[in-house]
Amino acid sequence: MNQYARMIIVLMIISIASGAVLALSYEITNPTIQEQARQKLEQSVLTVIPGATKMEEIQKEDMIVYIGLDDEGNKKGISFEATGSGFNGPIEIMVGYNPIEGNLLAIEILSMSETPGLGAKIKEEAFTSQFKGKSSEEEFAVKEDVQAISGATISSTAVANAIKTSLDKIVKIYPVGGDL
Amino acid sequence: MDEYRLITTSSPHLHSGESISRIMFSVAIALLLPTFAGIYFFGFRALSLVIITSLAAVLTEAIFQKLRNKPITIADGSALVTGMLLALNLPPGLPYWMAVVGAVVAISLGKQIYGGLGANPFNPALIGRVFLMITFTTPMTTWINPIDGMTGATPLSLMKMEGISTDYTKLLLGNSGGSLGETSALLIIIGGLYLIYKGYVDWTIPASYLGSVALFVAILGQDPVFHLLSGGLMLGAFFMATDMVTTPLSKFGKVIFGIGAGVFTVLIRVYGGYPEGVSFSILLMNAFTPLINRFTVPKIYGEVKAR
Amino acid sequence: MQIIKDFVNGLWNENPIFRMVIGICSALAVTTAANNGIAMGLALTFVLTCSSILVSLLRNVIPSKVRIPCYIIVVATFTTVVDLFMKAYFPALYEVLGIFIPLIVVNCIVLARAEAFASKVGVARATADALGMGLGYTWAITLISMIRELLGAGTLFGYQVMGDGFTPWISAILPPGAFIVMGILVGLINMINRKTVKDTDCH
Repeated sequence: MNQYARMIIVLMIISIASGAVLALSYEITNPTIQEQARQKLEQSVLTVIPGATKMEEIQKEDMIVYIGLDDEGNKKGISFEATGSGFNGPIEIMVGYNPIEGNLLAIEILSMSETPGLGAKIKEEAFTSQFKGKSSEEEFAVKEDVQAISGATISSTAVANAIKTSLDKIVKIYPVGGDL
Repeated sequence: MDEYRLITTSSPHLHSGESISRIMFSVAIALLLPTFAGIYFFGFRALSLVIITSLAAVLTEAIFQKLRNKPITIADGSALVTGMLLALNLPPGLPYWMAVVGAVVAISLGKQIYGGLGANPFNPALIGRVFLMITFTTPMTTWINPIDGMTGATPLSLMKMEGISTDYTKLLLGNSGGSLGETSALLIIIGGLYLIYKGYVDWTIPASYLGSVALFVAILGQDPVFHLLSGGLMLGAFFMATDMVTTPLSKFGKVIFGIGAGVFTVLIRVYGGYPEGVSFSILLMNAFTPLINRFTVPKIYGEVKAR
Repeated sequence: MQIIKDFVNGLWNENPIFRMVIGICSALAVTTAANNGIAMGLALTFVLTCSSILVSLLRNVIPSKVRIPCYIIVVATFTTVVDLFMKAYFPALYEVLGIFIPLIVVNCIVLARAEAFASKVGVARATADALGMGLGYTWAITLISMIRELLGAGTLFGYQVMGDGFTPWISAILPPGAFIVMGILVGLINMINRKTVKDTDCH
């Protein structure tokens, strides 16, 4: 009996100590982790909306939309996240959009796990820059109005389709030519 | 003590007069037909690619065996056949050094590392090709069109990406884009029939392989003749799926092997990410070969079911 | 002297990756760039050292019947601490290694050293052994990742070393490349060992 009591007590003490250490580390690191995540999000929003220096997050229907503002508080454009399924897993994209003219401002790949040297080239400027200035009325069809990366048609198509799907939703919320 | 020159071995004691080198050189002769086709369509570049790849394969075998202090067996011709087969599976415009890398990988990682001829579970030439395919994807999928010498798509990728079919006679004679030795279906069939006539190739594998491809393609509603004649299927069915070392021993096992390879080929061609699936499907079935052998042991005459 | 012996043991003779071939799951998965190799190695060294010290200290307290759950709790705690701190202060590194850090918990090196070594010896020897094993793991996976990065991307620690004409060997940074590179290295190290061991009467 004594033996069992000892087993339980030792295991319990170790668990409690472990819990305490974990709680302490969480307390120390959590604010920094939150700050990191927020900074990263803001960074990507500001990259896809040229001229913006601040961002504002709003919920419109089922989409989270980030509005980019400049120093005087003028709205420079909106951005939203698009997700597609690539060759090896999900691809997350931040898309900047100007609803007044109905054009894309820029895109940035937030995360992806495509094949290095092939599909991973979707991250490169050479691929992402082609979406700049693209009208929301275009088809986003790979090999027609979207240039695919050679040997990585699946990854390229995933990006184009993801943007198009989310863009169609956004256009319903913010009709082209309307106000921000 | 007296020296006895008697050698004791177990039966059988009959010898058919065949040897590895005779078989291998017959295969090499049969392979010359598609090689000539490649040289005719793609010119000097094809000839030099075949020579360089074969030399690299033979040299690798010699160096590897020397390093491991084993007898050097390059004279049996098996490294030569591997090198030729690999070359026939490469795009004619591939840089020479990449072909050499492929040959080194084929012989070292595909064959010698397992203990040499007879001990390799996978077809060495296909190991080399698949290694090159995943390592240098872009050069390995840059095809030269024999008519104008421009780069262009193979009949299979034209079919897959844009739904365009290619003329049967072009496919049969070899006047289409593709690997060096896979373009002329006709010459490959003649070479294959020669090997079947000599008895080095069992007709069951090519027959069941090609038959199942035709059948499954037809079930999926695509053109069976086009699929039979295009890509590396003929070369694979007659020269690579029939490798004695890496395929099942019994007739029934060979039929299973052929059908399995056929199903995988069609699945990859129709639904997969790559336009061509012959090399992958043969390698997959190579992996199944020990299992197939285990379940298709022929019944010994007079055998009674064990209780 | 024993302490130095224990430390050197993990570096070569019983190198976890090349000689004992344990903990290779992470070694194969993260070794696509040299930076990842070093970071993963140091993270594992930290967890291994902390848990070995604690296991060695508690070796007379922990009843043998519940020793495995105890070890796992200790290891998991340190791993989570590393995970949180890396996430907070090295976010770029965390993005790459993120999914592999929690896997340190089930890395066989950590549990194997706790069970086979740290639970039987004093703190000094356990620390020396853990540091040796950890650094042995670190240099092994750094070497693998250097080769893979050089061939697969033409860079080393992120710096371009190959000329413009270099064609990357994509398969080197794909999973098969990990197996091929590691297999060749294990073979080479066996070759070296066989040559050096011949003179001594070891085994």
